[in-house]
Amino acid sequence: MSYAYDLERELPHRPEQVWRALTDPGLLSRWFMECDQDLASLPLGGRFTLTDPNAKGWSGILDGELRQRAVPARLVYRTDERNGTSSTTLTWTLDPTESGTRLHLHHAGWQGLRGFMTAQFLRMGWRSLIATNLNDLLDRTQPDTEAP
Amino acid sequence: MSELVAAHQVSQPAISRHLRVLREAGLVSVRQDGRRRCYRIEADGLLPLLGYLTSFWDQRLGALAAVLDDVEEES
Repeated sequence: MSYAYDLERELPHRPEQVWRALTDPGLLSRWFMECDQDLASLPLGGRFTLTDPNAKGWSGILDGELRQRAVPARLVYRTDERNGTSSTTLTWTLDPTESGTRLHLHHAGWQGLRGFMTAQFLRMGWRSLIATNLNDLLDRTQPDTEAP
Repeated sequence: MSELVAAHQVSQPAISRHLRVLREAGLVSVRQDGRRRCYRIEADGLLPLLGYLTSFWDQRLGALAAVLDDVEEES
């Protein structure tokens, strides 16, 4: 059993633009993490590395494997924390809306008691415990039966 | 602990095992009060991952919107 959380955001930009921000290394480095491959052209199954030079409390390096790509609607990749234990899957879904794009992230594969508790606490709305302003970021969590 | 057993219709040994796992994970702490064992939830055990994820995505998705404004101008 693994656990997942979801977040969703409405963006006033076309899915093709959002797709570029999710796949282009130059754009990824500006908002997400540094990426050593172009995810728009990397073959399925291809490996890539995501790096967060400012990471605290973990290595900041994720070894990625591209799993699914449907332009410009769905991007799935697995990330293994280097020198760590977490192996999770990110599923980005882009749905066109009248005003732009609804971007949805399903972040699955959280294991163990801490993963379970984190997902449960988020779902229960204990988010106010966190000093950070959550806004609408982590709206729902649910048990995930998909194997990571 | 007797309150937990009464509330959950689970045997005391089962409750004890659950609490031990939670204690080892740092999610609850225990205090001996005479013959009673009092457990309390330790939110600090959860906050590192919970706090990291929420601030990570808060920052990242805020930055994404700004990047997308630039992509719009380029295309």
